[in-house]
Amino acid sequence: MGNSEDKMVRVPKDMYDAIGELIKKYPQYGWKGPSEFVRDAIRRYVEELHRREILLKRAMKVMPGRVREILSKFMGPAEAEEAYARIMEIHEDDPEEYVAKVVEILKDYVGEKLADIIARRIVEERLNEGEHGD
Amino acid sequence: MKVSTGIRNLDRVMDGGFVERSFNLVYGGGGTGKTLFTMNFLISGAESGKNVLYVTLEETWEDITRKLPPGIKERLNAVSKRFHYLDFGSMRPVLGREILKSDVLQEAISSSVVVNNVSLVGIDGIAPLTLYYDDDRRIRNAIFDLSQSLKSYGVTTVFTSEEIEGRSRYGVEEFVSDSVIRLIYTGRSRRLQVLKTRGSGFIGGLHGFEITNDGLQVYPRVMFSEGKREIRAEAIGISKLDTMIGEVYSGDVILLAGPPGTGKYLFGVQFIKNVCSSGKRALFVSFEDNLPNIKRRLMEMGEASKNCKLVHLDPGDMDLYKLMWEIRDRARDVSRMVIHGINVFSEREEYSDFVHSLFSYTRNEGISTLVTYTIPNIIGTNVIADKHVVNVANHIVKLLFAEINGELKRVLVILKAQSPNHERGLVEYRLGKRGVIIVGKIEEMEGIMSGTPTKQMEIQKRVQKFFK
Repeated sequence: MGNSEDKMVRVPKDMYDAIGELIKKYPQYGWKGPSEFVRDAIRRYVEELHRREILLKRAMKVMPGRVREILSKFMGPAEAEEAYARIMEIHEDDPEEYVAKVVEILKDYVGEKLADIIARRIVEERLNEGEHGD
Repeated sequence: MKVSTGIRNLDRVMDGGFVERSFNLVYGGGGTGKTLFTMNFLISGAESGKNVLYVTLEETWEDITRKLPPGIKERLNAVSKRFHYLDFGSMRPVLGREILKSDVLQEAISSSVVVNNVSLVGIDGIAPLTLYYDDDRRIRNAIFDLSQSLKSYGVTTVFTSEEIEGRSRYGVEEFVSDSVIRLIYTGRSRRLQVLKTRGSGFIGGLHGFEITNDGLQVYPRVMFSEGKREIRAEAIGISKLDTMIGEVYSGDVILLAGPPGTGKYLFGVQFIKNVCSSGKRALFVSFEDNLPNIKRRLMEMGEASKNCKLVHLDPGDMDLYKLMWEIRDRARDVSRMVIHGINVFSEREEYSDFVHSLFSYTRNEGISTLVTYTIPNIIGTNVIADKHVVNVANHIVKLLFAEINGELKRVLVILKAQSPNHERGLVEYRLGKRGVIIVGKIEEMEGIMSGTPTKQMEIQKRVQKFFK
């Protein structure tokens, strides 16, 4: 099935044996051998990363509004509006970087640890929604 | 340096208030007013220009503000710019119990303290800490860390905890606190007790405590005097009775005890009549329901009645600590006072404090006071009054009925007076349109105190007959 463009990857023997066992255990997936199993796993993982990136970008979009909502309940609308305005000024495409910058702003209001919890919770909410909705 | 508790009279109980940069515990059962205590402390601080922070760990901010009495809510709205809050109560379902970790709390609180330049903090309801910490040692450490962190920022903190079996919820909060205040609600009355103040004195025992529409109020069990007045000799104002009692001085307490119908209130009216006529002010406090009679008698004074304040207080649900402070407020500018029917309170738990505090206040302020005490037995009793009021009285006059020549007559006897030369005989008196009239000493009778006297001659005859 291979062609001249194909590349080899190494897997430890333990992992190779485990693949063999999984193929036997789940015949319904139709893996014809270890190579097909690995190809299928990589394809799924890439899809997952891609989906995660989409969700993180969605989380980025909702983050200012959600932060405003949480802070408004937690400490009142004045601080919430101020934090919201500062977050809206962030220009960052990379989701990880963006979240780090939001945490940086939030820590001025609630301290670093709680800022981290709030940002993490907003991302998790999106990811959970993605798992259940997509 | 002290920081005001913001609660009326509590600063005086606590020698000026909380010590600056201290961590103070307020604990009590459900509904004792812990949240309102904290809110009142912070609102008063904000009213004095300080920036304050309220941290709720249990209830949500929305619930707390919804339940505030309207007057307190109004005060809160007026200082909202200086009043900051952190609502962990509403965040817990959203962010999880992780937010109750000591270092997360510390960081969040200290961030707000720094950003808002806060000097007073209130942390309300530490019960949810158990969601994160599972043993007393860890809770104690968490509270200790929190207290040290807040002290390092120079803030004065009040935190609240539930009371369980007479102790604070975890039994460890007291040890990390600089002062401990316990709130009690019996369903009828509220009490506040200061159990500890580190580096400062306080007045022990249970104090009266009230939640009003616009704030909290403490009624200390001890009343503070505003300074001694000059001691001067006075006349009671009832012709001949003055001569019988001897010297009476401003600030003296005169106890008038007797059964119903002996005209105690008339003695009271005459007692204040004299001073009112001379332009001074007097107060008549009645716990009995013969108000129209008292009013009518006072009105007979004419113009002078304007100098006399008549107050009728229903003893039913009245808290005695509150009552004594209310009397104090009304008695500020008076030189004489009548307390009519003090016996209605003699069964109350706080009666002893009430009597001793009220009359040591009137004595120090130079307010001469006539106290009437109703004895239930109409005829023949050795009872004067309860021990508390007897102990504080400088003069004791007992009124009684005696059957003399087939007629029920009113008689008085002076049981105690400061003058060694006071009248020791029994004296008949009448009640007339002009008040109390002293008729004169009853001669040749014995056994009057028993209510059924006999003539001395008859006894002598019987004795002689016996020896014959």
